[in-house]
Formats: sequence, C-alpha cells, structure tokens
Amino acid sequence: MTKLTVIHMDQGDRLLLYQLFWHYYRGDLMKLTTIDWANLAELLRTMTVLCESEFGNQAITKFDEVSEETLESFVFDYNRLFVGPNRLHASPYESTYSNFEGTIMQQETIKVRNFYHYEGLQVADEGQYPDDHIQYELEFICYLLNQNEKGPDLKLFLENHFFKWVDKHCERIEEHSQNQLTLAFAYLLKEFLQLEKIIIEGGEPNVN
Amino acid sequence: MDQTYSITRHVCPRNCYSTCSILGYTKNGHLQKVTGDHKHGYTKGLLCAKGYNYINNVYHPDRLKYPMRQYPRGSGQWQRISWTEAIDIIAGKIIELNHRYESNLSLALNKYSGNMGILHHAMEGFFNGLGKTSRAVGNPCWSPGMDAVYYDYGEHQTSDMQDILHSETIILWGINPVWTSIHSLNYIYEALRRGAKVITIDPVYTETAKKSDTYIQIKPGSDGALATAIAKYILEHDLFDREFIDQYTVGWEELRDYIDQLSMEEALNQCGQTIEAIQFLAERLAKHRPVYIWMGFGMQRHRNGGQNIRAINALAAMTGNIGRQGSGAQFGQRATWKFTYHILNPFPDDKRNKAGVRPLDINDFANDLQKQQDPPVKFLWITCRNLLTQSANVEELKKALQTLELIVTVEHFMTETTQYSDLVLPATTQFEEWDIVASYWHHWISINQPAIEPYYESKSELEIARLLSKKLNEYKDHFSAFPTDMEDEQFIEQEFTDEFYQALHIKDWRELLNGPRRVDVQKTAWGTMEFKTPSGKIELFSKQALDNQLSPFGMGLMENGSNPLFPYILLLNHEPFRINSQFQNLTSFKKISREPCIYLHPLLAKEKGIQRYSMMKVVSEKGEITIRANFSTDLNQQTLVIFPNHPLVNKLISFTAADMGKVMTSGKGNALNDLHVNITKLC
Ligand code: SF4
Repeated sequence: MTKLTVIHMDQGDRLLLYQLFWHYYRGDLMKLTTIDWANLAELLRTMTVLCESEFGNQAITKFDEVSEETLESFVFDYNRLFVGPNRLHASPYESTYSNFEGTIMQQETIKVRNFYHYEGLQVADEGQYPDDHIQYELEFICYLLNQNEKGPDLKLFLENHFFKWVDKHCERIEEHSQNQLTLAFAYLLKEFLQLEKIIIEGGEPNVN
Repeated sequence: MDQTYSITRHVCPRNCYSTCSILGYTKNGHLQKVTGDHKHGYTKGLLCAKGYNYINNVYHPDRLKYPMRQYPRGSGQWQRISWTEAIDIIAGKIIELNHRYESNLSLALNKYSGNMGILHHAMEGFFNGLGKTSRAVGNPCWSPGMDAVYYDYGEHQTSDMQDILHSETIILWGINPVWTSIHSLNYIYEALRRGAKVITIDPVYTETAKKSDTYIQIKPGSDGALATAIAKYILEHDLFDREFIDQYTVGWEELRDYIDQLSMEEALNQCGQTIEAIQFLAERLAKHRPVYIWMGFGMQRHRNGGQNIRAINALAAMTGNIGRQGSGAQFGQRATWKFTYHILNPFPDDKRNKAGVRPLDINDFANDLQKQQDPPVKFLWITCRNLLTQSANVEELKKALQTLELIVTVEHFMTETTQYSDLVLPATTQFEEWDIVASYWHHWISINQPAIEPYYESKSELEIARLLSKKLNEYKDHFSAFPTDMEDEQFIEQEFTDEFYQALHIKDWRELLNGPRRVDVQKTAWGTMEFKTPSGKIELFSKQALDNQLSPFGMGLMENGSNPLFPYILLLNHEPFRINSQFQNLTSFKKISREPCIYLHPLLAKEKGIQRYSMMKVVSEKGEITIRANFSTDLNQQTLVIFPNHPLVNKLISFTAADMGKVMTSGKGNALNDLHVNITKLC
C-alpha cells in the first residue's frame, strides 16, 4: 500500500462542491453550454486533490469533453435516473435505499425531517416533496457547513444519513447512466464522498 | 413540531365491491398510517391488503411527480415540463383542431373505472362543456348483467348484507368473495353460524368454494343452462311458488311452455351436471328458503352473459326468493347513487355548439377509432384507466393510436398506456383531494377529504379540468363551459339535493366528515314488491328484450359455441392483491406473484407434455402468447385461468359482443370469458 499524504480540501472548495451537487440535483444545470462545462472543468482542476484522484480526474475530463450530442441526451438521461416518469434507475431519495418497501416519506424520511426541524429548518411545501431528496440533504449540508459551530451537527448528519446511501446511489448511476455528464457527476460525487469521509471520520483514502 | 395526529376521512375509490371508508392519520403533513373506518356500517373498520398498503402507494418512489412530455411518442425520451406548458400544449392543440375541423369531434375521451369518485367525472364534464365531442361509451365490466336486471326488475337494487343472516341457503354463484370481497365474509360466516348452508357454483374450485358446504363445478358460461335444468326439475316436481308467481311476475305460462320443450339431457350436458346435483339445488331453492343468491360478474362476460343473469333471476322468482328478507338474486345496485351529476353537465351556452357525444365503443375502441373519419379523432385524453392492458385488439389499438396527434394520460404511475402518450399528467390520490364515493354493492356513501398536500406537482382531475377550461376561454370567450371559478367543495355541494339529504338523514354534506352514511333504501331488495318494469312485475317474459332482438325469456340453452381448433376456455379471473393492473408495483405484492403465468390442470398439462413452470404457448383466434405454466387442480381439464394484470393476455382478446349491455351502458359487453384457446408446449 502506498502511503499518501492526505491533502484535505479547504472549506471553500468543499462548500463549492456541495453547492455544485445541490444545483445539479435541483435541475439548475440542464441548460449549460459546452463552454460552461469546460469552465467548470477548469475550476475543478484547481482542486489538486480531486485532479489526482482516479474518478475525480475522469469526471473532470468528461466535463472538458462535453459535446453537443452529450448535451442533447443529458436531460433525458437525467430524467431517466432521477426524475421519472418511468421507474427511477437511481432514485435520489435516501429512503429508497433504507426503507424495506422502498417507500418514501416513511420513518427514514421523517428522521431526516426531524434533523432539519432540529436546526430550525423546514423544506418549503413540506409534505409535498420528500425531505430526503438529495437536493434538500445537500442544501442542508451547505447550511451547516457554512457555520463553524455546526461542525458536530454536520458530522452527525453526514454519518447518519448522507454517507449511508449516496455511495449506493452513485453505483446505480454508474450502472444505468447512458450519458457522459450524468456519469461524470456520479464519478465526481463518489470521489468527493471518499474525501469527505476522510475529513469527517479521519479515515484513510481508498488507495489500491 | 406538532405531535398530534390529524385524522381525516377517505374512501377507496377502486372498482371494488367494498368501497371502504378509510381513516388517514397525518402528523406534520405526513400521512403516517391508514385504517378502516368503524363508522362504516358495511366494512366496519376493516380494509383489505390493498387498502392497508395505501401508504406504499401514495409514497411510492415511482409515483409520477411532474407533468412530462415524451418526444417522439414511444421513444422513452421524457422531458419535464411545467403545468403552464402542459396546459398550453393541450389548449393549443384543442384550438388548432377546432379550427381545422370546425368542430370538436376530433377530441376524444376514454375514461373508465380506475377512480369511481363523483368529482372524477370532471373530465367528462369538461368534454361535455366543449359541445359535441367523441367519447368511449359502454362498459367492459358489467353491462350484460345490468341490462338483464333491468329487463327483469326495471332497476338495480341489492339487499343490505345483514339480510343474509336470515337466509337458510346462500348460493355464491360465480363469485369468490374470499379474494374479491372480503368484507362480505363476516356476514356469510355469521349466517353459517346461524345455520345457513353455503353453496358455491363456479368453474374454479375457488378459496370460497373450499370454505362452502357444497361446491358445484360448472362449465364456464353454462350458468343459464344450469338454471334452466334446475327450473325444469322444479316444474316437473311442482316445486315452484305458485302464489308468488301469480302475484309478482308476468310471463309464467309462456316461460313454462318454453322450458317444457327444452331437453333436460341437453341442459345437463351443457352445464356438466348430474340430475342429483340438479335435484339438490332445486330442493334447496324450493324447500330451504329464504335463498340468497349472489351472482358474480364473470358469468355475464359471455356471449350469453345477459341471459345467464336473467336465467338466475327467473329461477329466484319462480321459487319465491325475491323481495323477502334473506332472499334475492343480487348483482349490483344504482339505487343509492342519487347525485345530481351536475359536474357532468356544464353544457355550453352557445346553441350552435350543442353538447353531445359521438360514441366510440369502449369494448371495440381500436376499430371505432379507425372507423370514425369525419372528422378523424386526433386528440385523446385517457384517464382512470390503463387502456393498453385492459383493451381488446391491442395491436390494432396501438396502430390506431399512431394516427393521433396528441395523447394525454392522467395517471399515478407509468403504465403501458403512458408509454404510448405524449403528455403524462400526475394525478393526486384520494389522500390529496376532495371527493365523494358511493358503492355499487352496499348502501353507504363516504366523503373523501384531503389529508396531505398533493405529492410533488400532482393535481386533481377537477383542478386540471378547471385550468384547461380557463386557458381555452382566454383564447375565446365561452369556448369551454366547464366552471373555472368553483371550489372543490362547491362541486360536492351541487351534487346533493334535499331529497338525497333526507335519504342520508343529514342536512349538509359536511356531516359526512363525521362518518359515512347509509342511504335510506330498502334493506331487502324489492322488499315492497314494486318493480319498475313496464308491467310493474318481475318479467319472466320481457317484451322489451324481444323488441331488442333478444329472447324474451330469462331461461334457455346455449348455442354451440365450441371450436375444435380452440378446444379450451381461458378465464380471466381476479386475484386478491390487485385489481387488474392496479397495485402492480407494490414491492411486497410483487414478491407474491413475480411474473404472469397461466393455470392449467396437471392432467391436461401431462397430456400436452407441458412441465410445471416451463414456458408454453397459448393461441386464440386473435393471436398467441408465450407464458409460464402453473398447475392447479382447482380447474377442470378444459378450463385455464389467467389473472389479467399484465398486457400479455390482451394479445389473445378481440371484441366478441355479449348479448346485452346496450340499454343501460350504451354498448354491449365484451364476452371476455368466451376466450377459446389452444395450448402447446414450447419446443
Ligand atoms: S380495494 Fe376494495 S376492499 Fe380493498 S380497500 Fe379498496 S374498496 Fe376496500
């Protein structure tokens, strides 16, 4: 095993990445152009630790190489994976991965909701949209990350929720993705998750 | 955070005997559990497995969330659109077609019984409000029986199920309540405890048959022949109720002469019974009264389906088993549906644009869609049904759909039908909307109030109709007559009259929020012995039937419908955990039945060299399918069974008109259970 010097990402980069995923899962990035994606690749390249990782690097390359064709099928693939109307290939709800029936809005969702409530937050139109959709979890993480004193809460939330299922979610994307952009995001998220786990849990990175 | 539950009232709006009242328990905007409603006098606080699973249905991750557009149709490329965009696309198309054809006849609606709530008539109301449009009419379920009951009694009544406690004999004729109507079982068991005997007559040795005192295995579709054989025996042994017949029926002499000429041997042969079985049934009917007969829907999905029901009705009448406590020939009722149906009738004010319907037979929809060319249908709205899994001639239907320019489907989940649509609109469930629902079996009316916010961007059908109407009227004043400014509650309010309130013993519909109410109809069907037939009596000889080119008698033998190329009958029976294609995707139910299969007797399988769980071929005149074989000794060796919850079986089905249905439902029923097939092993 190679001994690596772990370079942690700084708070700003972490926040930026969480925000990036948040926007992605909110569907805000559907209309970006090839130039926008190349710009994103450039920005991500400034994060050494990402560039040097296997999947981070692959993701960045994919962003760089986005073609018009990729953009054309991006929205359909995104919908196929996360929105519907067909059965979701990579459900973006925590409860899909934790509930026995795969039913959403169950105890698992309510636990997430309770966490938000504990912090004095609430999903707009609560009850209409499941609280454990990844975009809300990401937004919540950004909120906690922004405030230094919320460190322990963030750790608790990540460990009890986000870390518990997002790996599996990424696996499903990798399995079903038919588009370079959705795949790039899965790679990026997967890699980022590893780095976050190191920061939060103080563990070793995955090195083969 | 609020720690208390709010409790709301709901109704299961599925096409099911029970029409259960449901209580929803919601905490912080989240529906946490559902239970039955003890205040419901028929279902008494119980649901079925489907009902208890509603939470998994409401919060199913695959539920439709946003309006989606598929382009091109069938490509699987779905784009999320806003409601504004969806309504614009639909309204734009309606207007374009109106200009092109100078009428709205190219617009068609195909709605069925996926949701039986009164407010779910909103789309019919919306279409009516556009003037003359095209419409799927008729009924795939019960039309022959409805006509039959109409010819015999003039209207549709059932008894309260409590009535069965006074019965000495209960005949469950072609009905399997253990699977399809569990709430009736408490009553049947109580009747048993009080000494009644239960007889099940069915082509399948059902779970109900297994719990009965006697089981008669009948050949599919021969119910009328069995009734005729019993009637003949009764005549020959003077077991009929002369007094009852004289007082309450017409046509007895004619019927008697007619039955006299029929051959007992032929009758026995047709229904596959011995004379001992006939004697047993005749004596139960004549000597162990009152006799309560419950007729299921399967037996009327035959070419002679209406006649089957009429024959049993006549049998009940000649033995005096009608209108007396604990007796009756029960089928289905409409007596409690006393709504005004104003929601259906927002007719356009513009006299040039008169309301009306260009009918497309719901049972022959594929052909009718192609037949109507002046103008052709170009726009189809599908709601409350899964058209492609529940239609005949499905390949023709798919072709016909290709000629349409816009297909809109309102749904909770993706189905075979939505895959063939351009727009899919997410609908609310009964936990997210107002409604009011009556039953075709019992006599209770229940209210449905919203418990939770609409899931994601789903909307009620009523709301969709309002939005669309508003948009169209922005384009042209009075284009659509469907009200745009009435609240849901106002729609409910206008469905009630003072007379209806009196029958419910309430003053305002909001009192239903305190619990369901029984409509004050007779506890025993036809207890007053008043019949709404032309003669005012039970018509054993029906001139109305004769005028409609039918046999005037309720009795008769079958014409030979056998076909040596297709020697077996395939029955489409219901299963306990689904209603056709509904409840398909619940994880736990999926584990129970993983893939479609066909049931056949092991001896038949042996004869054909078919192994259990192997794939086999089923061929009908219409087409062929490959399906997994499963064995069942509950069938005879000429009968097979499939549960029609998947699109596979549709490949075998065409439209075979049943004898009746036109009077009550504007179209003949489809003889779905006259499905003649042949089978082979897969080489
Ligand atoms: S499916 Fe029938 S029995 Fe089950 S809950 Fe609905 S109405 Fe009741």
